[in-house]
Amino acid sequence: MTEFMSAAAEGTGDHGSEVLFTLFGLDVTPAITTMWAIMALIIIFSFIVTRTLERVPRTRLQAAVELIFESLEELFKGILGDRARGYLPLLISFFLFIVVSNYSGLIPGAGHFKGFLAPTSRWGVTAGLAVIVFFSQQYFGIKEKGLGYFKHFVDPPFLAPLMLPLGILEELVKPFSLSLRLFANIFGGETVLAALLLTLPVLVPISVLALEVIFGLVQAMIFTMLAAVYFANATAEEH
Amino acid sequence: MFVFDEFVWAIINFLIFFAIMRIVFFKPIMNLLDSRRAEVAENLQKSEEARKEAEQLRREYEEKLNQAASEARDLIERARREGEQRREELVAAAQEEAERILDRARTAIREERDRAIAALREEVADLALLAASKVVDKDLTGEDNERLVREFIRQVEGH
Repeated sequence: MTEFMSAAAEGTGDHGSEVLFTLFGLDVTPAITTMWAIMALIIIFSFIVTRTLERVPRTRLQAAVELIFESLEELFKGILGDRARGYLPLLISFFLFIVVSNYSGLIPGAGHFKGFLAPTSRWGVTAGLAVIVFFSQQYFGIKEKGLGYFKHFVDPPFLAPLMLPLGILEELVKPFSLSLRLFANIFGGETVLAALLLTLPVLVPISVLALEVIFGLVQAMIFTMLAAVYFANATAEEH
Repeated sequence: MFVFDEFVWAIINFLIFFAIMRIVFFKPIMNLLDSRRAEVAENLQKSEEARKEAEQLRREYEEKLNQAASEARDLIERARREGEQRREELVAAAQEEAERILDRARTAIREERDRAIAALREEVADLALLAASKVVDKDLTGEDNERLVREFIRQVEGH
């Protein structure tokens, strides 16, 4: 058991917190360098795809990208209705970044090479994303409903003194649950995978790897769909 | 576990990422999809309009065709009626003509017959006179003879 634990510790290691260098007074860790790499990859890929966009798709690449985009659009329309359009870029950006981040942890060498660590396996990163969701939600709510957005904090009015703290707490808990769920799932999955790779190097890790491939997608879906639900609730006509 | 600098970096990174993605990815792809959807909708509407127009044209032509057919039927009917009328007129005229010819013929025959009878009567009178004179062998005066013969013939006709 101790061997397992130490293997796990060695696998993901605590070197995730090591400081590679400092930029603008902020420590840059492997998760951040990987985040940059992922973002750069997605942006370069997007750039390549959109440079060759044609009205009538001729390349499989364009067809595939359109298929993915429209599937996600349909998914979010299911939650947000026709308002989904305005929220699509943010939600799809979350999804793309998270799914690539999750999968980056499955590449052999993640967590071992210097400066290469799945960003979503770090709570700091997922918390950053969740906080963006939190503020976006408040922003969208106020934008759509004005001050009426705050009504749901004191509803029903005669219970306002009781509901206000509960409402605020509810809002503040959201980023916690959102970030912890994503981080814990990815971090946990990678730890298990790393431990298994060291203790049972044959066959067993493959099944866990397959599961992680599914979980990586599922966690990205959960994060973005919850974000969509938060946006939908904040901007809904009636509560 | 929670590294504050990572938290700050994540926010900065993602916001930059999002801003770039909007320009590099979402704007082009959403424009493309929107314009394609608009085009498809427009084409559908156009084809629907074209279909309606074709339908209307078809109806118009059908109507015209029906109208032409009924006109043709009318024309034929009128022509037939006129022909019929004309035929009847002709037949009537022919009958009239025939009647007239017959009448004239009858009149001519009657006149001819009368004339023939009259001539015959003359002839008989002369013959009778001749025969009588031969019988009596005596020449009666012309006038007396003639009167006698005529009386005789009248008597004969009277029987």
